[in-house]
Amino acid sequence: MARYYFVAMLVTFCAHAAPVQVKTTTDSWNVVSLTLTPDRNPAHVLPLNEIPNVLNATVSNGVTQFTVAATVRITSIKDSFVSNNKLVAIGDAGDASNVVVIDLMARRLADWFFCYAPKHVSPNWIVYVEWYQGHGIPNPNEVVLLYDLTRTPEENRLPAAGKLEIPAPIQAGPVVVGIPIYPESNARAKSYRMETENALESELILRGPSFLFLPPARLVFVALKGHDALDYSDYLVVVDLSRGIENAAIQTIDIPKDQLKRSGANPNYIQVAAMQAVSTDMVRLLVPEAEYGVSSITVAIP
Amino acid sequence: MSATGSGGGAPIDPIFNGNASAGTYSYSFGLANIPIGEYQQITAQWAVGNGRLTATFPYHFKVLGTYRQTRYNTPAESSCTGDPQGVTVYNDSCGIIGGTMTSGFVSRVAAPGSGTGSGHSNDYGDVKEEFYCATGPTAFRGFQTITGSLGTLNDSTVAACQSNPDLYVTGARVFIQGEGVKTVTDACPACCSDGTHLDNYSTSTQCSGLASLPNALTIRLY
Repeated sequence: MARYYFVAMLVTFCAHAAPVQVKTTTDSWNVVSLTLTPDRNPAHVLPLNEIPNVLNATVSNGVTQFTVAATVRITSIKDSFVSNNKLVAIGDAGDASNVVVIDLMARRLADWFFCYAPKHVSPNWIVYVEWYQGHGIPNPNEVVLLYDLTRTPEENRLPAAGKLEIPAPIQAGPVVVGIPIYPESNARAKSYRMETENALESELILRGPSFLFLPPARLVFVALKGHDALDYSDYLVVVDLSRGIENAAIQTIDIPKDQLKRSGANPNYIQVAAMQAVSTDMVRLLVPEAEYGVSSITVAIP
Repeated sequence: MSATGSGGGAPIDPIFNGNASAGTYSYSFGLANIPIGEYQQITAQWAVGNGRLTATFPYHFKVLGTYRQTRYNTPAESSCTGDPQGVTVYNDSCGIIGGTMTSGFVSRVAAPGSGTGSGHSNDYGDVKEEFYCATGPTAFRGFQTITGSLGTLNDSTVAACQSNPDLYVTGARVFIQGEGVKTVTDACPACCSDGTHLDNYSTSTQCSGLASLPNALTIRLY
């Protein structure tokens, strides 16, 4: 229901805000079924003898119905949708998340990649954290990437992504996919680099609240800095993409602690479990009542 | 006898209610039924004749619930199979110092979704997957010291989601039912997706087949 509410808001705003290039979904595809079955083809065996899956998608547009099959690394589907004649499946693949894009007009796999915390935030946009192997990395600097379904797979890559075949071979591990929109240094430098030499710059994106889209084209999420949970400080990040995803305007907002009845174990690290839109200019942060004496606080978004 | 939250309030774990003759006894916390929550004290009340006595012992722990317990290690290239594969190995100055590893080792260390992030290579000492000089599943940094982000690694250490306020704390100790007490010394971004997940380090250097541990009740000890 919430998604349709936002689509409705988006349509309203797009009608009045010409510079915004966000389009609503106009496809009339109906996904009849979406299944995963093990791919026993010896040619598709993965490194370390793991077995991929075949994604079978049966779709209909009222005129024709067909099934498209693709060998994929995704092991369970958490979300799926159709946008711009592309069927997108979002799910898990081992310890990572995985996104699969199928071109329904060409009836073939168009793209796929690994990431963390992918979310379908608007009709054409998927936002996620760039994948990295987290063990032992002293100063990760997590990068927020955006995949625009109105663009081609090639247009959803920076030159820094190199020359890996698109879609990547099933044995590969594509991770540098999408356009960086945060941190600002990555967005400006068009870089996928997600490690910093300076511990003070190390920044993480909170997974619980995930990404929230506010019309006309703002993305809100919670980020934190610090060495460990005892000295973390967290804050809201607002990425305004109304001038295009290559021109992200970024603001950070303090989480208003005066709305809390208790300060919690670390007064600078507010444990935000989830985030909801109250209006186009306000969000509600859900917090553990046992920790703070209240269950939510609200924050105005510029 | 019960374990309770601050001031005797919730959560309450009724450890024992009953009669006992004089002597010394050990009572279990009853982990099969202990409620989730943060405990601050153990309280014992007993009656002898008409007398009623109470004793309180401060004891701080937080029952987090049942956590998924995966395992990771630092595999040895010598234990992996496969053909030589072209890779790029960097030094700490981002200079390229080499270029070939066993394909099974490359996958085991760097594969998204199942990679360990580090390994004992044949030619470049201990290697880590590279994310600063370059990004991609064939970029490594050679001659590294393999540690966790919060400390050393051994069979009694675990990795936790970095945003977990209870666990991602330097020196944090956790009791894992069936495993014992371990210390959080590393980060596990993959553990953030389900929230109730720890990655247990193993000093085994096998290339693959390191099975997960059973899901287990996990308690933060203070």
